[in-house]
Amino acid sequence: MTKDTGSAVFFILLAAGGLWMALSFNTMSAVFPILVLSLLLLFSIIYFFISIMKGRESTETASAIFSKEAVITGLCLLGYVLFIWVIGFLAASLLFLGGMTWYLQGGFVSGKKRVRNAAGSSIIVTVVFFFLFRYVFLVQLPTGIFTS
Amino acid sequence: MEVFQEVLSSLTQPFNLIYMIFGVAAGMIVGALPGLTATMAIAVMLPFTFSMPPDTALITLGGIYIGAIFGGCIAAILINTPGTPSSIATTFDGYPMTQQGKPDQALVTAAVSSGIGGVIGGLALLFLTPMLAALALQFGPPEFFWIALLGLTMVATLSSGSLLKGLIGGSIGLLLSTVGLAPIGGDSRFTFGFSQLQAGFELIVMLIAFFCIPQVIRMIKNQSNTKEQVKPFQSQKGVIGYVFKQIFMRPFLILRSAVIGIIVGIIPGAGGNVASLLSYDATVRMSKDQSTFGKGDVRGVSASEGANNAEVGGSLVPLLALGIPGAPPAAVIIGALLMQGIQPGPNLFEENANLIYTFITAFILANVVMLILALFGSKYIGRVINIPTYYLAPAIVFLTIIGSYAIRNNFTDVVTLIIIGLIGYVLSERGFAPAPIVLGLILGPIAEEGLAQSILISEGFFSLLGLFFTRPITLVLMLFCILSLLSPYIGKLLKSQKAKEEQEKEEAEESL
Amino acid sequence: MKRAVTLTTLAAAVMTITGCGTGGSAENYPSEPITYSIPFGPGGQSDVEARRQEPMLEEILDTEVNITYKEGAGGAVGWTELVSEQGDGYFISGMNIPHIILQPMTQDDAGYETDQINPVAIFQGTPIGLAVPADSDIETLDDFIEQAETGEQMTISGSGTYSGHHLAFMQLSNLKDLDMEYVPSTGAAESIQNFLGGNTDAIFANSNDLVKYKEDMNILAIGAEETFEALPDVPTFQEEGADFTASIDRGVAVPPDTDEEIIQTLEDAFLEIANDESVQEEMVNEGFEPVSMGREETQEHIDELKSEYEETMRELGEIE
Repeated sequence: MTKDTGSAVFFILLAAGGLWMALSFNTMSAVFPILVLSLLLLFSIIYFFISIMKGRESTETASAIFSKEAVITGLCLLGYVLFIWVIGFLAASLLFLGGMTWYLQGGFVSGKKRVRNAAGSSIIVTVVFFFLFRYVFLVQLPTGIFTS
Repeated sequence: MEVFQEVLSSLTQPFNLIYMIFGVAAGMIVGALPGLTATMAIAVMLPFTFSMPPDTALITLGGIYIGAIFGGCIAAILINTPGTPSSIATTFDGYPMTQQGKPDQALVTAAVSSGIGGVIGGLALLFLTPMLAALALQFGPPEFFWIALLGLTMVATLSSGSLLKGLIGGSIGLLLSTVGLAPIGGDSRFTFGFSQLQAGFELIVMLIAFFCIPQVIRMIKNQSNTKEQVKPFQSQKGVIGYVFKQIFMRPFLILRSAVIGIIVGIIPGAGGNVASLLSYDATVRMSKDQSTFGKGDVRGVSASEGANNAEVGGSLVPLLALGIPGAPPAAVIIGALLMQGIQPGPNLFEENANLIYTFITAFILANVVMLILALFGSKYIGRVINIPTYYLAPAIVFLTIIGSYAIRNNFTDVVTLIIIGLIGYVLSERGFAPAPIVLGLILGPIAEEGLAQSILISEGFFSLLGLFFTRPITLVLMLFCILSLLSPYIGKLLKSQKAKEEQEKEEAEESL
Repeated sequence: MKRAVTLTTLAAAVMTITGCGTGGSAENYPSEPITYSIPFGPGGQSDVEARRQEPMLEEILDTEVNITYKEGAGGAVGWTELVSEQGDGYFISGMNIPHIILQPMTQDDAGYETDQINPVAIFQGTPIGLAVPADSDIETLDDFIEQAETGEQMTISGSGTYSGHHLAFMQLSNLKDLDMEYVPSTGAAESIQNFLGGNTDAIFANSNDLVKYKEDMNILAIGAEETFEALPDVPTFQEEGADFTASIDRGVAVPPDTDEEIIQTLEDAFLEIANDESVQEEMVNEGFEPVSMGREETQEHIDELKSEYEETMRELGEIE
């Protein structure tokens, strides 16, 4: 099974599941979703057959979607959101910016300078924008579950 | 003439001019920050204008509006994130130009196009208000449905590579737009019991999620891969001259963009994002050489920015003439007018002529101020891309998070941003480009409301068909849809015809 | 939000850094900036009212008042937030009736219950009126009802599903067996556009819009309790023999479990503003009905409407 076939199967399942859910809506709420989901189902079925027909010809290169950097970045993003929820926006941002900058400097900068750059950038960016949003645009940023 | 003198004396007051410059600059800054829309910029600044005299207040707010719409293109060009939804089409060619080390050229193009588009929009506001206001009322539910369909035919232009993947992407976007309470019918759909999802996905959060998060991940992935990297920005001489030359060589491009922007602006319900997309699409289709679009073509930037700034003027037309705002930021302007004791509507030009003409003239002038500020600033703003990835990427993530939270102080939006962003990354790596998905998201609600209202208004199936296919504007829109769908094939056909003719000619010549 | 803004901002900033924010106790309330949350977008009527109150509130309470927006799902997002906030008096929210009654009634996952909304005061009423185009043959509400009974299907434009307009429609259709269709739009402006463009036969509109467009339409009746000051020639639904009122009331609420003294302080402040003559005059000119309903009265009002609406909705089969 090629990646295209995989995507097609995923979309077919998505459309079918969506249609099943949409059947329980009242008429006016259901009209548009059913129209859209039917279109999605139609397109993905066509996509499925085309991908099967082409399937053998295309020799796909090794997946670069989930490279090491991409996975680590993705995890960092999820961790950042979790930390905002737990310890608040300010502290989580300092941690994320510092950690991320430190990690990304690997291979470019090393030693004490690497730590100094990470700390400096995280403090400056966080503080400047935190104050701008908090006190000029009056956005009440989350403070975490322990303080409220 | 009395009005003219009044306007002149008001505009030559140094205080008013200073406030205008301040308004434009403040708007540009707010617009450049992702998550802060033009609507919000005006709303945030509104209280500062309460204590001002009415003319100064309106001049300042007009300046902020224009500045903010332009500011949106800065983030679009530099970090592939539309600062406001209006600059969505600017990312298509603006960011590739940045990748080629020419952010200043993109910024200057955007500034000049915005300035000219804005001035044309302002002139339309000045001269066409009463006439065009009547047009806005002709748009009922069936027309909105067709407008949305016309927009969706753009998938053909936007899906680079596979049309089928574009269509699937567009359907996914439409599907995402149905999450939450049904606008008509009132059921809560696809919320899976989360009350936070009742309001649906916030458009700007989705824009950032689909455009920016995947971009940041790719940026990090390619950090050590020199081939994929963004070229450093080196300030070159003569950029301004070059851009002016480029733009004046194609006067119709800006004119067409401005006209599209004005018309879309006048129609309530369709905003700057639709204007910028439609104009981009029209420009791609009408160009002879389409191969460079999406790879850093100045024409793409010019089309998008020319239209979205002209849209500002257009959106104020129904506001001043009927009291119906043509776009969300214009709705805030209504609030400001009411606060100053001005009731927008048919009598406005009789009752408050001085004030309104001052506002419109100042509006046109503010575009010039914006142009000057942007021309001088672009050289410095462009340096952002020289910041190493290890500083830039985390900072962009930080800005997107703070921005998506700021829209309505909602933590759920932040969670949505990251999850949808990661999904968007996988989708785009699998060949499902973000543009068609976002197109579906923007047009979904317009299409749904148009369709559902038409069904309610009609009595039975045949009356519904009558509504869709017999009203004069729907017929015109239908024609546009068909043309839009067929145009790639017509283009190919013409090309092959020409090639054939030339071949025949050559053969004829050879045989001679 | 005047010149003092930078100073108070600075002071607030210093306080946050040094961590010496007091708060919590009811005696020295208010000692911190108050967040006034609007469950709708900037520029809407709720926002305009809050902005009108903001400088006066700051003066009366002697503290900073920050307006924030929490829009979505017709206000439900904002009210869900409200009921989960701390009841220390530093988070207050705009409150709209009938929204806070209808949303929990019609949706299982609205995110809050009507009982959880802790009302402080109501300061503004917006009666809903029924109108037809100015050049229509229909002159009175009776004409309209007759046409809906015998003639073609009547379409009525309005804003929102399970909203004030929708409820007014349901109340009207509950009177007799009428052939009418409600055509909702997502906002008041879109709904007026639909009506003025000739796409629907009639419209349910807010009083301020009725005042604004009175030249273009013939207003048949209005949902006020007594003759509406800004439109003295228009009869009420009750005067025309239709026994219901229809209005969108704006007020303010605090989270559940808020200290009595704090609510009292806020109630006094909001009622003082509501009773201010210049505020009342401005409201009338813009097409609203100035109201000053204290806490207990508001609670009674909500309870009364709740049982009334429940009955209507049940009769129409909208709820079980």
